[in-house]
Amino acid sequence: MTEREYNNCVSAHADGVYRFILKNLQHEEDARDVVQSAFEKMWLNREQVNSATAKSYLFTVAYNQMIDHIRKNKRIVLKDEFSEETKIDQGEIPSFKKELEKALQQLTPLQKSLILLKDYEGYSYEEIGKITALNASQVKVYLHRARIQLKEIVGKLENII
Amino acid sequence: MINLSNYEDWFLLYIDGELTVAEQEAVLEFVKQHPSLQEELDLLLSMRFQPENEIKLADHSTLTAKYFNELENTYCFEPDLTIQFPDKEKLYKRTAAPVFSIFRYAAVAASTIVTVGLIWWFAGTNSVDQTLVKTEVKVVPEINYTEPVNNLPQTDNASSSVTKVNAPNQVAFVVDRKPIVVANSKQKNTVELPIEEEVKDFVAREQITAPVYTEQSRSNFSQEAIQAAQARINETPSTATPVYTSSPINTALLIEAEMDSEKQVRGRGILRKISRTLLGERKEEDDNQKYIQLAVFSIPVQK
Repeated sequence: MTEREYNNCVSAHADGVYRFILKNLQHEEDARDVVQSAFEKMWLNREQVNSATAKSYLFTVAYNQMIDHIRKNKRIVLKDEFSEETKIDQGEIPSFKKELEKALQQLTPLQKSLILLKDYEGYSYEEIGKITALNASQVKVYLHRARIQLKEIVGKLENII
Repeated sequence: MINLSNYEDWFLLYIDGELTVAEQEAVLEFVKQHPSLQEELDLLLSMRFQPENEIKLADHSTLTAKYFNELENTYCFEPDLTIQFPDKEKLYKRTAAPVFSIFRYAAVAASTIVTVGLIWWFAGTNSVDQTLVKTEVKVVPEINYTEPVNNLPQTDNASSSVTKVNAPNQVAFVVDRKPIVVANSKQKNTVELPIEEEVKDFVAREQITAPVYTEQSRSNFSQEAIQAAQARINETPSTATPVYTSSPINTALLIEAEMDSEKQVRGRGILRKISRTLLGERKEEDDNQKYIQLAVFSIPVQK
């Protein structure tokens, strides 16, 4: 990967990686740090990275660093989840989109990543499997299980409202 | 094929975009046939997440190649080779312990060998000296002025017929191991008496006044010497002929020396054999040669 190709990769995928990480972490500063680390790693390994697979490489590195970050800051994530529930108790009028976002945060990091990689980036099961270190069948099963779980959560929230 | 039992999987594959165009049309046809499932399909479709384009990374400058190049060039430090650690000698590790331990083990082994050798040497020397001390007894020979002796040997019931007079000259009998060894040799035609019997005699009587030819004849003298002595006795006048004989003390000491010598022969036998081989010492165990053993002196008898 040349320097120009690297810069093109930054322009094309930096925002997408940032959205993907931000939707998982729900923390802008942490999401920026993860994206910064992912691009730094790709820069250091630019000679081994092919420009055609740069996006997949970037998402893979970002996903792994996000998982590491979640493991290191598990308490902070739980604290954020409690703050979300507090907002519900405050009686804000939730829209379906917000309810869906809240339901998404109740899933595991893997389930969230599978859904977002599929919906945001349109990756196939096989491509998602390469990023998350799973095979295509596992991705299919886990992803469908996550969507059904999401549907149940949304249904419960609608019943409460 | 899609049916009522597997339609949910088909719906999920449909919203994931994993179906072919034909399969997608089959799903839509199935929903038309089952309008009650249209709501469920719409719910799944509504649950798909669309990328929020408004969410953007505010600044891409920290991700560009220019940024990383500046980092590498700006914050790259050349090492100052003039800075050196002053006390480098303190950091060296010299593991001389194994060499020291080898010398230590060698010293222990050498000292052990020397100690054992000295103990062995002095123990052997001391035992010999003790033997000599035990056996170097100045024995006052009892000069028994006896009647002519007709029956030799005679050891019992002779005290009544003997006049006991101390000899003017005291003769020291030095008994060594060597005579004992010779005396024990069966090839020397010695007259043997039971040792226990003599010891009993010694214990029972403090002094034996009778002539004790048997003592010497048993231990040292050959048969020819005994016969020669008997002949001389017969030739001598019958009155006041001093007969030098060893006392029973000598017998006891000889027995003791013999017992001690048996203990020492084992340790010194090897050295003695070596010395015989190297020095060409005369073989003592000559079957044809006969000796008269007197104290430490072994006198060969001519044939």
